[in-house]
Amino acid sequence: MTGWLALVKTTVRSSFRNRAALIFTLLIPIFLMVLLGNVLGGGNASVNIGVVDNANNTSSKAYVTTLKHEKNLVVEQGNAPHETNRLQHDDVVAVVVIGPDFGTACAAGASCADSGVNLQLDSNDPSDSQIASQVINAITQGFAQGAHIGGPPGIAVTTTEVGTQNITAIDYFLPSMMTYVAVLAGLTYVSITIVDQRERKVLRRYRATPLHPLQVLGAAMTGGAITVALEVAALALVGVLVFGARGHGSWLLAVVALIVGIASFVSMGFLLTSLVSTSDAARGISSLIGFPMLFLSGIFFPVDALPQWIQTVVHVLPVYYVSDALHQILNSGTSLPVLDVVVPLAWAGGCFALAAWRFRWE
Amino acid sequence: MLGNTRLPGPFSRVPIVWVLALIAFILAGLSAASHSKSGNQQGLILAVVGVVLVLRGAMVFNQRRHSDGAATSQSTSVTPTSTASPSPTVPDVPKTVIEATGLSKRYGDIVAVDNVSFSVQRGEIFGLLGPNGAGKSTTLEMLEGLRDIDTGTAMVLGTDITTNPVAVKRRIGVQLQATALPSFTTVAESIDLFRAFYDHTRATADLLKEFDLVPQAKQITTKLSGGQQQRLSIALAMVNDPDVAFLDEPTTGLDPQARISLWHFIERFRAQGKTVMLTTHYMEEAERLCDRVAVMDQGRVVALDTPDQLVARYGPGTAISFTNTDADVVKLRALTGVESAEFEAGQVRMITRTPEVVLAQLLHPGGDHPNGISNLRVERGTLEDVFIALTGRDLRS
Repeated sequence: MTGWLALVKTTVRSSFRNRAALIFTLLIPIFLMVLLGNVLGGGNASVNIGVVDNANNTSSKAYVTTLKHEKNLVVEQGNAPHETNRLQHDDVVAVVVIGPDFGTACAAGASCADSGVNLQLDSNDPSDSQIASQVINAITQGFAQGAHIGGPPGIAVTTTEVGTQNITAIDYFLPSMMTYVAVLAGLTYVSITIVDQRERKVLRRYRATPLHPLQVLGAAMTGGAITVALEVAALALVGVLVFGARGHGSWLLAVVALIVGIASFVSMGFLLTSLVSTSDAARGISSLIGFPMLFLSGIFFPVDALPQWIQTVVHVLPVYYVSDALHQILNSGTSLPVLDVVVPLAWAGGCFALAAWRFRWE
Repeated sequence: MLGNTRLPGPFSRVPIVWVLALIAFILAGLSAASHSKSGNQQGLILAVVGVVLVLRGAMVFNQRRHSDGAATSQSTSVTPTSTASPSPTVPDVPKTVIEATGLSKRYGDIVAVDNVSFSVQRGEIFGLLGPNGAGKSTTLEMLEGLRDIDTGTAMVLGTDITTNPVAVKRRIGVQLQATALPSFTTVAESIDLFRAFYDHTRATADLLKEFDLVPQAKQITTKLSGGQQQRLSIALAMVNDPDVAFLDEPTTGLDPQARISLWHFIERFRAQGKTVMLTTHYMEEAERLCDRVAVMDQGRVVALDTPDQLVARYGPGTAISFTNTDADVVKLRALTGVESAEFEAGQVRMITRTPEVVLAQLLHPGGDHPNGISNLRVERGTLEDVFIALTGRDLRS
């Protein structure tokens, strides 16, 4: 056990010291996130807002015009239900609701809600709604001074956070990228580690110790799985902290789904070691198998559009289920579907058994 | 480590982790009972931890039972802790450390090792000498438990390698032909890794010091020089303070200085009463290091003896050569003990098996050689000559 643990530790440590491989596996998904995060996640300078004018007087009309002149805002005016609906569907990140008594001075000590504006913000898109909030606050205070309305408080701005059920593009994209890293890193790390150690006779050297052969292989797989898990975690952190992706369900369940998925990909990687004899070939075959599996998993495009026979293939491979589990948990907030655990686990067990049977020590 | 410890006194067979597992299960039960919904997750984690601890305990439990049954591994199971003082004389090292009887190994039609038998005594440095492909490494790897033995038996330290390889592997040190070191790992980390594989080990600092690797302790192994890598490779073979070390071509590819330094390590190890078995295709290494040498060719042992005896029996004899412009070859041939004598361009070359006798006659004050003798050289035959005599081929061909 101590020998096994020491081997796991060495495996993880050396994969993190191998910076080139680390960057290779994380770079592409982060690049994709940057690309899609900017295109879909709304990293644009201008934000869409809605305006509901409940006062409909000269002051409020002047205020709306001021908002529309702000180049960082794209303003659409409508009635309250319509604008709320748009907020719910992520068409706008904020709605400015102008109180019915807008333009009249607010008596000291009284509630100024009716004479002020209420800002409804999309709590699921904190970065953009924050921009909107700052811009609108600045404009409103400027307008209050320019129009000489009211006393020192100016126009009261109250803020309401509106939690929308809809997920943003980056929310949807994060589980996809997590699956992507799990598949590619899972296949690559284990196959390259084992093949490289076999090539350089390190496996042979371990076999000359009292360590059980299964401990040697088990440690390579566990070490690989831990490395992959840490990489997926790093990616998830980048997604959440940098791109503001949000999980709408239990992260703990997502971790369970991921562990099951990583187990199946790592076992597949282990199986690949019986097909190749050099680490270069291992890298090649990992990509050769990994990328088609990814394309047939619903990560990049929906599988419903594919021909029936390809859909059959999709529903046999484990990637679809891992991706589905992560999307279900993190996007829809549902619990972990049983099938999404069973299929990857079956793959993990099957591949491991086959690989252990076919394994060549040299 | 806590994972390996057991309860004291009459419960000495029960691993402590089982007690911890029990506590985890009780906590899991309490958690599930007290919180109907929110506590479930906590309870689940505790239950999983409990299961892991039970599995760990089962390994400890079985380990003890297993080593109780295997009499040969008792010496190591007595001291299960990993910090051990090096004990120079392990009591149960048998006099015959390695006993190979009729070892054979074939790969398809090729017979790699053909009916090889020899025995190695305690405290010996035993060498397998032969060209590449002679079956040296295969023989060594069969003794190390790395290759299956087709026919024949191999007893190492009194234990049959095929029936109880783990017991043998605990007590041998192995250095493979290629310096097989884990990648992206430092020297000290590599030693610590291999120490984790054995119950009875030497301290990392000791090994670093002994093998002159202290300055390189934090260096990545692949960035070491060839000599340093080879020293580390042998240090790794020594982590369990083995009773016998198997070294496969320990100095191949090293410069002369690094080679001599490695010879010192091997001799020092033997000075502790330990046994060494090595392969080499350098005859000077075999002559300098080995007490006995088995000459291998095409999978068979063609001769086995001390280097001196091999040279005396199979070598061409000693060559005595000198310069003497008007030497009389007929007279020289008549000297006692001279097997042959040749004269060419003022150079005399004589072959003899009794150089002392011949030299005494040659250098006798009343000797009959008017111009005197200059450039006298006496060259003893080498294992290289032995090899050529035995196989008709060059050692490096």
